[in-house]
Amino acid sequence: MERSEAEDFLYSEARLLNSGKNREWQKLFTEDAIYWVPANDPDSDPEEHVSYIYDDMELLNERLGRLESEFCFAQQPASTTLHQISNVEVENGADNEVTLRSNVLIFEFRNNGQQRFYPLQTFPAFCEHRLRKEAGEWKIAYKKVALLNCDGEIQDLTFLM
Amino acid sequence: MNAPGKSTRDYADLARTGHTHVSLYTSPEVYQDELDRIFYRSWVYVAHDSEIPNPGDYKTTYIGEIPVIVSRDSNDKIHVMINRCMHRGATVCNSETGSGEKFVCPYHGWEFAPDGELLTIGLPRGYNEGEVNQKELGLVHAAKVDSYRGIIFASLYEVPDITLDEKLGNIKEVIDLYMNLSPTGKIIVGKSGVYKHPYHGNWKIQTEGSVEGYHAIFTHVTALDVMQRKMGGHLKGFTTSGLHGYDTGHGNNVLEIYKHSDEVVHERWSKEYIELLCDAHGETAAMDALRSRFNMVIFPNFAILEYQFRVIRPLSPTETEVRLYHTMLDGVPKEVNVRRIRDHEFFYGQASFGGPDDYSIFGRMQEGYKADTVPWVYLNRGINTETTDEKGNRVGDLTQETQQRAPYYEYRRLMAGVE
Repeated sequence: MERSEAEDFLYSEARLLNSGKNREWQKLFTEDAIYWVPANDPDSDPEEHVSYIYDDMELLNERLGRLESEFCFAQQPASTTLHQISNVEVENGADNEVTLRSNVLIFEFRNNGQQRFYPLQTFPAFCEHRLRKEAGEWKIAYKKVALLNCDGEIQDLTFLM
Repeated sequence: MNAPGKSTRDYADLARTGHTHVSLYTSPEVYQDELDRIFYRSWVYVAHDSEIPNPGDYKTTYIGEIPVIVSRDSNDKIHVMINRCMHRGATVCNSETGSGEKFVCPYHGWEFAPDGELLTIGLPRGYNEGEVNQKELGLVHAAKVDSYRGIIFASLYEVPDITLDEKLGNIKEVIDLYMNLSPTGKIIVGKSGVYKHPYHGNWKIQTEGSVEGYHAIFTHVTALDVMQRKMGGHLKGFTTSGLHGYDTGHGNNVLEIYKHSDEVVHERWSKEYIELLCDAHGETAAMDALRSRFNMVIFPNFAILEYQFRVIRPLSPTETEVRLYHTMLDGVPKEVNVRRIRDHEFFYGQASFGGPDDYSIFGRMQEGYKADTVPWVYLNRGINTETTDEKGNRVGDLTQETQQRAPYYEYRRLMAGVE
């Protein structure tokens, strides 16, 4: 995969996230994919250490269902995000596999709450996507979002990264 | 107990049984009195043994707003000391955790041993005789340190008027149940992760909220929905009677979340794990531990929930930091601890299906408390049917508020000297 193709893939993924098309975003993943946001240590072993998010596709599906629910009080008002992507690197693997590394700066904002002046939040992160080609299309088999402040005090991460 | 400070507030009236005055959640003067009379002069959680297992190990934490070091010296003795160089006041340790032979102040090279002794002064010849007494300038120790089952508590400025044993009282047996989930009776705290969670709200909202039996079916609709589908029958009877809240004395309290049937215990955990526990503790004690699930609060700043030690740190009248230290069981098959990790992630933590809804609501409560012309917060649910059991605990039903009223008896005792 060329870098320009990798960038196109990551930009289109970000466009889905940033326009709230969560269910279309979900379709980018393979059935056996993992969506991982480590806590404390970006290199921790998820079987030895808690994560913020360690979703298989069943749990990701539940997560999206929660975000659609009127009872997700942590998302009232709902987050909107802007994913700014840079530093894209491509590591081609076997025929149908490729690893993408990128930096993402996620801006997160919630508008129109009773509590005014909700500050714009920024979450810089190192991203790793492992893509696999299925039926001629690149799919995400693994997405890791290692927040720069993954060991810091964080109030809320209930939006999609 | 003599209450220091000049406040003329009548805390016996402001912290009534069943009603708390809104100023307890908003007033800077009340907050300062709480630091002076509760956080600095009574038993406060500081650490668990497993965080500093070897000589020379230390962690830094806070008692109220005061930075402290919890260290283990070469004789295995644990020290709780104010993290402040005796010369000009800089903290002498700037790491969350670590290990070493001494704490060195980077300003003038004063060096302190793990037991606080002042070992060396930078450029000592600049001091004339009589200007500095090295023996008197060790780090300042907490007035009293004690522990139960590896859980370390300290009282910073004064020896408390009750021993730790008296402070813990009936809640010790609940701690024992928790430790019995390990065949060796030991747990490892925080090595498997810590969620560091600030929220916009007074610290007592979390103290009360850690044993909230009333809110779950309203606040945690999305989490319970998933749990119901994934766990099925395990949630049956969630809101029915048979589960209780307890006030075990001295502000401590317990909320029963589930009492699993033996059938559910066997569905939930492997034969290998259950047998390990039965061999270690005997079948009765092992099954008691496996069937039970509690949330418990040890007033003022500590809670144990299913997979976590929860530590509450007040930052201001309206800001709090909560740390959720994940706990691993010693001596169990790996899949038991993996399960504890996945289950913990599901409900707690900033991206989880449960906790974020609570913290969002805590912020909304604090927002509502700005209306101080509406003076009272209600915690009187079940007050007229509350009973006392044979052990002396006050008892109410799961969704009543016995357990959340519990802290305010101790609050009045420490703040106003009223029993």
